Amino acid sequence: MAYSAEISRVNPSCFLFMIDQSKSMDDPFGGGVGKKKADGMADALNRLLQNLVIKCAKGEGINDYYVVGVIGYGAKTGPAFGGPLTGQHLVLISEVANSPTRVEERTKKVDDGAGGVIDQTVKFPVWIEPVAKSGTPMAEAFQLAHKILEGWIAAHPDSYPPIVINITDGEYNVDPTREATLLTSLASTDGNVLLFNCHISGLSSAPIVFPNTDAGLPDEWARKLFALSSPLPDNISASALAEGYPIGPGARGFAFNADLVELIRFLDIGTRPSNLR
Amino acid sequence: MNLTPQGFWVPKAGSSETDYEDAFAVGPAGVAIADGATESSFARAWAKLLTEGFACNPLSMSPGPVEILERIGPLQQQWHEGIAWDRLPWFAEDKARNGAFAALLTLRFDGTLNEPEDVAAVERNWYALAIGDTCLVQIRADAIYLSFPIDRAAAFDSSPTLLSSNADRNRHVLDGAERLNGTFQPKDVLLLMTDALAKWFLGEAEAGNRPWHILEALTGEEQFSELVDRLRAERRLKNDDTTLLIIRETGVSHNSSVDANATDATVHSDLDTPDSTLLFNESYPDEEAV
Repeated sequence: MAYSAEISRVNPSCFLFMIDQSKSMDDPFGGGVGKKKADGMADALNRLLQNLVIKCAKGEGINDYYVVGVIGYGAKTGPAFGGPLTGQHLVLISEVANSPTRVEERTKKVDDGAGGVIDQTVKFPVWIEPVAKSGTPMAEAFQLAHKILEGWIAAHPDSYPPIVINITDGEYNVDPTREATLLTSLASTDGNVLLFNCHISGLSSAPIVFPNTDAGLPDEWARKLFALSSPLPDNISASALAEGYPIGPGARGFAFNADLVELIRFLDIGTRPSNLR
Repeated sequence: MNLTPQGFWVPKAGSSETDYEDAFAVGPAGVAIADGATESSFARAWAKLLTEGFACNPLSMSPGPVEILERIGPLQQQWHEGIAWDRLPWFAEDKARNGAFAALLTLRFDGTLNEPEDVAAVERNWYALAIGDTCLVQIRADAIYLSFPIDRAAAFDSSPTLLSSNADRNRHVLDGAERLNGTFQPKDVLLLMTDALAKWFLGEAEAGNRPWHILEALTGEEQFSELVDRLRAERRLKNDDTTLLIIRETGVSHNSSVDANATDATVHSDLDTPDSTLLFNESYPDEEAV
């Protein structure tokens, strides 16, 4: 069965993020005022990285279940990590954990256990800052992703297939369908590379996560990104369904005006208690 | 009739013994076996605290929720005090604040495992409590007499509801706890297994085989380790920490029996931390109290 390879320190898998840093990301996010799409992108990626790090945290350290890369595309296409990780295509998740450029404190509302909510201060590590410059060379970014993952798969032929998460407003210069298809044609013995898209839009439409049809998507960009997104593997669909997500047959790794942070929870690296949320 | 428990354990392949997150303990009147969840931090310590706590201080024969929660509270406190919170990096603190999680199966007998000859009953009553997917199988007359709390291989999944060291996560956990009263008769065998082994076992039984013959024939750790290695290589056993506790009538040959006469819980000596205050350090092979 595909997508069933064990993910462990001995058999790590790979996450590659692609982030749109083009000029159009300077526009307002979700039809609102104040927050830009670039801010939404940075928040989405930083939360994804934070959740992936915490998933791999064990005791006082980190188990290296994943290697991680971030490709930025805008004024230039290339590795987007800052600080000590600058210029590196793929790094261990433990290196990511130990190298945020800063750790902010943010306030979030949490259940107080007595029917109310209270404010709690939480740490919010930041690896990626908002950037918005120039065009949207998404096809070029897919080419670079292909090059990076071709090498990684050659070195890890039996791994759980790499997952690529592309965070964008979709407004690309050149149709990237050919390059995206080439990327997802790469495969380990456990299945093809998975491409999930996270669409950060200027429209104020309600968030949509893991749709199985493009019928309810609000614009052409969303429909094109949906078409490029891989179907969710069965075990991820089953986990999402078990947690109450309305997953239909053929659901895809696509989110509209929502991050894909929940996806991290559905990755199987061992027993995950149902009462750990 | 006196009873003798015998324990076997093997860590997940690719992991060291200090990564082993199952635990088992034997007390004067009962046993406990636990399976710490991979996706939680300091789960090894939590599993160990739970098994020692419940084996040392066994539940009554019909405990209510209040009695169970009263046992768990001090163990949660001990777990929390065992972590050097001030030196955890941001990710480790965030993870640990969620709590550690473990499946727990406790079994207590009416009276002690070793009764004086003159009062020893022919039949022994027992009470079991299970939270999560660690299983008890009773073999009687060369057949499965009962399997608790799971009785089908297909019923295992990787997201059971588990007992947490964080009380906030346990709000509904006792709703899903399973309880069972039973009797142990001469020649019965009780097999307590963590999930990977239990799933294999029930699958074999469903296929018409008698996997208890294989487990009952084990005489030592080495044999158990070879069995586990073979089943993993044949992809019949999930690569996970694997633990078995067999309870039989005393008198059958046991090469690595744990001491049922102990007044305190007995835990596999390799798993003991040097300091009973249990300041945990899970990540490094050279485990030491901090």
